[in-house]
Amino acid sequence: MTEPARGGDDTIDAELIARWRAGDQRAATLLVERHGPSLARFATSLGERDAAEELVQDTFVRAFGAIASFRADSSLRTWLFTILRRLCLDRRRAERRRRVVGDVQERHAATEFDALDELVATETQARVRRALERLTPTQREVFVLRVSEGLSYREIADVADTTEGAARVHYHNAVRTIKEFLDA
Amino acid sequence: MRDCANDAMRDLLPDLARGGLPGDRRAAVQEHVAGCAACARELMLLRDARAVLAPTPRIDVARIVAALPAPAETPALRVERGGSRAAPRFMQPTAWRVAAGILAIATAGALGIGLARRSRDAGVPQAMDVAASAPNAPAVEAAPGPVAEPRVAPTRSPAPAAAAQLTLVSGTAELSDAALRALLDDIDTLDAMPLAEPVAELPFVGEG
Repeated sequence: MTEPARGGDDTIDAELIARWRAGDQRAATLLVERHGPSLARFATSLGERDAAEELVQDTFVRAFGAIASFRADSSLRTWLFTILRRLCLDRRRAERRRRVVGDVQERHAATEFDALDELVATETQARVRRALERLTPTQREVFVLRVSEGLSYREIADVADTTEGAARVHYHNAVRTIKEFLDA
Repeated sequence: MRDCANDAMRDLLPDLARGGLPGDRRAAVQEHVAGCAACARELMLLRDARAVLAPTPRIDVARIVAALPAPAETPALRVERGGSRAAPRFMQPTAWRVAAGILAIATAGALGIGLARRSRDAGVPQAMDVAASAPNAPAVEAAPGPVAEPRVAPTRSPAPAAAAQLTLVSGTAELSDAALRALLDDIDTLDAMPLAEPVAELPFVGEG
């Protein structure tokens, strides 16, 4: 599986989209390989580890279904993250309707990382993991997009439907929260 | 430990941790980190966080690709060397539709004005026409009374040309006096005209 796409690869994405629209199925495979892993990681960080693949698939289905409305001078990667985030939010809303309020509040942001316990190699990383659990959903979302996926504040603002300045504040608040936890 | 005051450098630490900086900028940030304990600690924290967040759930690419819709039959996006660009806005279908709409409205307006001028030239007497044909003449109003003869009123409008634009181009404005009178007579004979006044509500009849 290829490494997730970087910001400078928008031209490659546009070319692959053009090839897919011309009937080249291999181009679709390359696009999924380029962006699928990042999307799956993002879905996991939003607390949807079990449904990550399903959400990634739905993201690509929606994106390819509306590809005619995609502007080639914008970032496919940012667009995909935006779609995935909306799908996650829709999924949470649907779950909230099914659950009692107490369950939702108890769930918060923490439990989804528990499955990663065995994968954490060092004590420091275990503490960082626990610190990440203390972030608010918005802080964690911004932190993951910035640190793990390398999105700029401008791109994060597009994905998270906020402003560039607010994205920067959320990021630095997240870093401060993690530091305070580690120093405690 | 206090945070580094160099916000520009701090903002680049995630990119350095990710290996996403070009050579010259990477060297500059690395040089800063080498002399800044706060940034060195933050960079280590970010690398640990990346390690925690790195595990990627397995996804079945073939299954996802199989679920994708077939390519639409719309033309492919235009891709240029050195950058990708969509069609310019003025070449997009929506822009053409808006332009066609504006052109249609302008044409209809021009035709309307032309028809109005032609009817005026034909000598159909209209109040606004009189004002338009004699820019310096007093404005003309329809006289009250049974006979709708034009009468001259004291000048009140300093811009008769503007009034000419209000000339009606259809409906009753093109009717002769006799035809208009006949139309009014016909309307008087109708008994299904809508009432302008509100209908009085029936009084409420309470119990008992």
